[in-house]
Amino acid sequence: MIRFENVSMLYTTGPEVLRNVNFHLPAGSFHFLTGASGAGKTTLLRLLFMSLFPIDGNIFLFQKNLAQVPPEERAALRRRIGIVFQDFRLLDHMTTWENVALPLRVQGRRESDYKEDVTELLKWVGLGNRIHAYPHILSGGEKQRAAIARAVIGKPELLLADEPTGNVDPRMARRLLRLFIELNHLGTSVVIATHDHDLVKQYNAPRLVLADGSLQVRS
Amino acid sequence: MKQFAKTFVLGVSEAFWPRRQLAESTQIVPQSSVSGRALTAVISIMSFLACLTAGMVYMVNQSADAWYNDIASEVTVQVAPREGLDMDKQVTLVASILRRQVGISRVRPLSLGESSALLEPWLGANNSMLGLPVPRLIAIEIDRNRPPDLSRVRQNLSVRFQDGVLLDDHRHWQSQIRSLTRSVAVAGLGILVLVATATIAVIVSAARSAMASNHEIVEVLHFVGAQRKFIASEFERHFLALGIRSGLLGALAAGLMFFFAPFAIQILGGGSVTASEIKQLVGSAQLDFFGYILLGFIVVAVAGICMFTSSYWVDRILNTEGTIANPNYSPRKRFGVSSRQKGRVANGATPSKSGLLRGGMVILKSTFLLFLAFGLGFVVYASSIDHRGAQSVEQADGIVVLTGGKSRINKALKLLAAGKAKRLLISGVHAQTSAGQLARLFPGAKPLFNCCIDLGRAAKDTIGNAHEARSWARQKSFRSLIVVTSSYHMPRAIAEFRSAMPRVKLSAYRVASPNVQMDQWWSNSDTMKLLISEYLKYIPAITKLGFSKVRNMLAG
Repeated sequence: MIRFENVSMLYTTGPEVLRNVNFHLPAGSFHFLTGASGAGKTTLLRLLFMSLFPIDGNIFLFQKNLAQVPPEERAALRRRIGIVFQDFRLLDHMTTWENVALPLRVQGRRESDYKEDVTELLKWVGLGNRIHAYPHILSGGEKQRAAIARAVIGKPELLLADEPTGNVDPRMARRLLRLFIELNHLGTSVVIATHDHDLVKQYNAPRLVLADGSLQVRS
Repeated sequence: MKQFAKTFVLGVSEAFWPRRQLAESTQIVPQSSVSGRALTAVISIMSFLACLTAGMVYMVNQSADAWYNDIASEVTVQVAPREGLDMDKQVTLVASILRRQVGISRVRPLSLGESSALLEPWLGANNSMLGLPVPRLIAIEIDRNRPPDLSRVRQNLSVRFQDGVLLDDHRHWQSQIRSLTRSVAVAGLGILVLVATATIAVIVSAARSAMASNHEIVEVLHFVGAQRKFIASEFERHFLALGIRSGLLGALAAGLMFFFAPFAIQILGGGSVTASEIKQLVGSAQLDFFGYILLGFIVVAVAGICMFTSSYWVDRILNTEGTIANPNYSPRKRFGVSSRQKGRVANGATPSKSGLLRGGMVILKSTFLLFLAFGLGFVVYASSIDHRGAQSVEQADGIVVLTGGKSRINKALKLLAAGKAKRLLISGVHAQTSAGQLARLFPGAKPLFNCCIDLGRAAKDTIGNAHEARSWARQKSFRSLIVVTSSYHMPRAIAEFRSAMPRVKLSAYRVASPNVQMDQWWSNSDTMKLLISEYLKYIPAITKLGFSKVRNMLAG
């Protein structure tokens, strides 16, 4: 599913964020990505999502070398990935329901085909009474759940989550983790970047530990 | 193609039913972030100007067609006066010959009173004309279904009366009308091109601003797997709707203006004279059905410009974008906006206005600079016209005087008498004026008329004078000429002469015009008008000279 071969990454200013990183994640796996703040967790997720490209090495996703995927085919690959950002990235002029339905809408699907699915998912993440609310009146936790719902509505093959429980209480964090685990059981590969040790302890999954630009896989 | 059709349908729907079809909350890219009221106003004004120009050109063309048909259906025969000739008898004889020609439906000789009335604007209304040898006219209407062979009629008259009877088929006026129509069409086309360019500039600016203000939306769309075409179409349909809405507003305003213009002229105090002048210039001063159809085409063109320009630029911006959500992302690099503007975007301001203002400022600045250059150029031009009285010229092979004032010919004759050149060409003499008549006007110069003066009758304007002088100089193998004309006319005359004969050495001899106050040109409205008119003709003349010099240089 995901293979990194000698991947290095640095920004125009600053030290190397990733240095000769090598790892392989099989399809259907569940991993936590941990490391201190600034260790490069978000960078690694962005490399997987083709919002960044490494300065050296190769990244293989769905058996494709991302460096060789032409720009017009990137959208098709991204549809197979769900991503949850730390800062949510919800569109302020659209309701919660419309935000969550966005991935299906851009695929050109008819609203009647997904109307019930979106509403059901929103209820499941505890936003049943916030369907018509706009993001600016949602709390941080509610925004986080809406962002997760948007990432999973398209039943992605790979889910990338950047600090998905950073803004929710422990009870909601456990609930969201259960959602990720269920998705994983349904066949979705999951990578959760977090520095929440309590969350990591709650589920026995391998960890990708980033430190000083290097990555270690720990069971 | 499917995406284009969808964008087109959504854009048209949005233009006509913005609230019903696409409520703000359901639009991925909010319409207000792309096309605000200010942008709509600017594009509407552009559309209004384009419609006004196209409508005016259309009306002038229609009117010119009518003039052309009127002139083409009539010819005039002029009977020249001669000493001892009974003019009434001569006119009757010519008319009877003309009536016998095939293809002529009506022959109407004008009485002496009618012929004199035609000269009234120049000579005034008095009885003194009865004593003058006034040429007599015969108006002929042509049978348009069976037109006569005019060259044969002309030949017949020439054989019978020599040069005493002239047939004027108004070819000169026909070519003038054609020239006017072409000039109006070219000027109109130029204005339309300017308006289209300004519209494109405004849309480019608005598209860049729209992309900058919506960059977060664009990034989210990338995250959720939107194709580039899908993202572009979200912007394009707003621009299409903007184009249709603004185009219709502009066309509606222009249509109303054309419809109510005649009434407005009356209300604003334009009397029957103004109305009649307008009617002569642009016919009924109202658009017909096809004129309004033309306005419809302008709406389509404005909508097309808005959609395709925005489509090109949005696609270009999306194409140049290497990555999304890049931490190294710079709005300046990607969208060409500053970090200060980025802050404004983040604060929810309406950056489309900043782009619009930028585009508007570019247009304003360009227009201002154009006017400034024109104004300064005029001041330099008017101030540099040399109008000093005393002047000396070097010896030359020939003198060319351009008709247009008695004092010009007088000065030229003096130069010839002083031996400044071997021969004199009086260029632009009327076809009916003989050397004898001219000699009578300048009694002291009669011997010169017998030996050393040539008359040029072909020239109708300064360009014609230059061509006539060139032929004369070639024929006489002259290599240097003294050009004699009024001070205010000299810069243009020299420019035209230099273009026509770059290898002939030219010296200018300026003649002061009594009615032109060159000393204080800025305070005399008539002089100012004359100089502005000259300046407008001088610009193309000097441009032509520049091109001619470059061409000669390239040709070695």
